[in-house]
Amino acid sequence: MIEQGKIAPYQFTILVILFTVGSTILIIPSGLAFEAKHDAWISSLIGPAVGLIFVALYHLLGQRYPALTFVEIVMHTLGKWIGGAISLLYVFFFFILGALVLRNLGDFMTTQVLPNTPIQYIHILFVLVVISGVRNGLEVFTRTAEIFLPWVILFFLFLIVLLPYQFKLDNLLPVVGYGIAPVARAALPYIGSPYAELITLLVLYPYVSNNRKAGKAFAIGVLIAGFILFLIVMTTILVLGPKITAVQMFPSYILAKKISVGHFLERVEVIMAGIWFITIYFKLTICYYASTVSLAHVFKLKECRQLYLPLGFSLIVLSIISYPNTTYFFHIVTRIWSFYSLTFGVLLPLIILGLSLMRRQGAGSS
Amino acid sequence: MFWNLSGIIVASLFVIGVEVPYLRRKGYKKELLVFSMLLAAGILLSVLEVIKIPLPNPLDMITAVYQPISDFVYALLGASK
Repeated sequence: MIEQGKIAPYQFTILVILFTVGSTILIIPSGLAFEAKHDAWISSLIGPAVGLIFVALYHLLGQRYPALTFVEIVMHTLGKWIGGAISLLYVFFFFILGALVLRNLGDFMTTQVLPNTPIQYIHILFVLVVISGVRNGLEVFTRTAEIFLPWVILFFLFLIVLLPYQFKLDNLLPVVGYGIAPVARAALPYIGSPYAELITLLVLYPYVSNNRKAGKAFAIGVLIAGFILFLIVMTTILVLGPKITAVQMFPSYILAKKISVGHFLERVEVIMAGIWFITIYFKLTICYYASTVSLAHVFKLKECRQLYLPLGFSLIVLSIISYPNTTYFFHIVTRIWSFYSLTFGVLLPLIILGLSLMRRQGAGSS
Repeated sequence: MFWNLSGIIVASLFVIGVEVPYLRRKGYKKELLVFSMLLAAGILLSVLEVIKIPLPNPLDMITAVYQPISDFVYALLGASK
């Protein structure tokens, strides 16, 4: 194995929380409110519920081969050539996911915080920080995550605690007034991103020190992250209302702008932006790590630290060309991405698990 | 454009300076090959992007594959186009 480090189950939970909250916290209220309107919060409960089923699937797969890395599992069940090709598709999936997460941050910075800075420079600086973190290995960035998670929780509580007096309960009515179809329509992209993307964390599975407890740690992480995302969707709908939420690109940021206590505590939104700087950093780090390590496994390399810097060039270019405009971004996020991530996050793992079960039976009976 | 191109050259020289001596000292042949190919691809893509040659967007391909499924599922869920 390339990675020598080990992480404890609770550290894995922390990585799951940061990965799931990731860039989703920034954009999800608008996507949900666009389709489900007043019922966005119901859709935001369906997401983690389905996510738990995915976690069960990943745990079954990870438990079957506790000593094998993800690429080795794929190669073992699908054979050298088909398995290799599928592994390379996975490498690309993790890589493009990283590029899109980076682009979310770049778009946020150039539209809200630094409007005159070219997006390339923000991406380059951010990727340099990611590479300097990821080059130190899994254990080091996991411990960094441990230091940063309390800050995410603190800022998040700050955001939630200072807003209740602006809640308008009318914004929740009518409940399921448009039927169940809009709720399902809104839930689908939310299931696709981030919950189907959790397959990325299966790459870290063999490095969790206590393999039996990894599944529970995974599920707890998804539940906590799902609750955080539920709270942000609920608060956004209650404060801004579904109409304003749906037309914003970054509704959580607009929400933070609403914080105003006695003409004294004002303009704290950039501190709030710290939440998604941290979560996006770790989501991108995990995606980048997963794609590089998997690539190294496909080619059976002895080390992969040397590949981070050269891959950074392609990551930045890919993040720049991926979204030519906002309409394109919106179409991909709401209509296309969920099917792509469900293919890699559910369909292929199901096929791999099915094949491995069949093979075991065949070997046992003969 | 001049500054961007020189930036790419400086960055790639930096990457080579940081990683190649280590790879050679350890005698990693295959690692060096993969490293060089990834770096060459990265430099090529960045240069093409800087001199504004339109690059194919992989998301276009993903859209082409999944658009029919997406249309079908969302029509089932009663979405207006």
